[in-house]
Amino acid sequence: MTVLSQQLLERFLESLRVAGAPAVEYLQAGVSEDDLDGLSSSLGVRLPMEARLWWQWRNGLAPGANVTLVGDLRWLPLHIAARDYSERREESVAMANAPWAQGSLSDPESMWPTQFFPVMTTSYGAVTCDCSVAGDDPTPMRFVTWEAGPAPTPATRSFGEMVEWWIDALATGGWAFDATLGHFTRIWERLDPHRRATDLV
Amino acid sequence: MMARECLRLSYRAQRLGDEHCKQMPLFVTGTHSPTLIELSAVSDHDLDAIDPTRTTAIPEPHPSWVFLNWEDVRDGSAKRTLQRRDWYFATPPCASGTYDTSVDDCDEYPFFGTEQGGQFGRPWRPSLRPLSFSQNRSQGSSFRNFGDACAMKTGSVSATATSNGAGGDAFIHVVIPKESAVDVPSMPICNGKTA
Repeated sequence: MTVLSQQLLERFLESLRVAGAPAVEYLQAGVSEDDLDGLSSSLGVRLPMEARLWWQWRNGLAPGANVTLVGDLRWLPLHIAARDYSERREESVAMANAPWAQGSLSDPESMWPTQFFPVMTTSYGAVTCDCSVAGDDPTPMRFVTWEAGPAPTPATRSFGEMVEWWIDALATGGWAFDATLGHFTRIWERLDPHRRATDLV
Repeated sequence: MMARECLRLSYRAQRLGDEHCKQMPLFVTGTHSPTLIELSAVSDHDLDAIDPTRTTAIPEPHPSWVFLNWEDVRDGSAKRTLQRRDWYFATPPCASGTYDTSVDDCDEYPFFGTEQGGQFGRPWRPSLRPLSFSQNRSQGSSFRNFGDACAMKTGSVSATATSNGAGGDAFIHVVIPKESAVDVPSMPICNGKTA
């Protein structure tokens, strides 16, 4: 299993550059250890080692850039990820306390589990890491849709494995500039059917 | 308020009488979410897509979009596995680069999790509009909550790579206009349907 590392992230960035992804031009400098610690204490959730490295390396795309990583996949700055997380958690608790909530609906972990933290979002859901892992263990990644909830099992065993999938998607042309559309997008038929079904690529 | 809106929208869809509103499950998009997020943008979009009497109605509103059929879009379902979830990505007004994705999502109506929604929504393509992501996501969560609360089931005909499924549980989407004098949260009204 591949674990996220500085080397892997630099490989990913180089792959994006070679593919001509516009996102490269709008990346923000990484956040500090203090920023990450402050977030952990304010939200009460400890980000896994791989997620910390991710945001220390680059802090997502500049707001207002009107650019995505690929397709509708948005590369989140940490403060926007934190805001998304807070909104979803508040909603999960409110739904569980609603008068009609019975059975599993009354579980505040049902809609959005405390330990799932968004890394990327789309209009239909978010790529999340799992903050329940111990110590410096790799974090499993999964997709959570607004309308259908979390995937029952992780799509990858680590953040690093997901970035490997992204590098593969760039190498095989599954993520590419579509000249017809004029956008950097997912070329559906070139993506591995199993991987694309997870919504992580 | 909810009964009146249900009757009004049903009437526009040429479904007369009140039995639909008394017997079918209702998904109510209220004036706000359970966490008090205002839902004016999503309700405006949904009503503009449904109601031809609105001055802001889209060029071709479809009153029948009040009556929808549930379609499973959980992980591993046929529709999620076989169809592009980001089908709208190159379609105006949700074409990439034309709206600020740090504050807005692309809202689809009818919902993707219905037989009327998605790239192969029938009989018409869904209406698209960029709007506040908080509102879009909140409505999505309420929609999921409705499906669980009322035990909504997908149909016997599965989605394919080029078509939606058929025969899913029917329900009515009641949208409370933002101009309403009464504050109503989004909620499921199952009308006795629990299985």
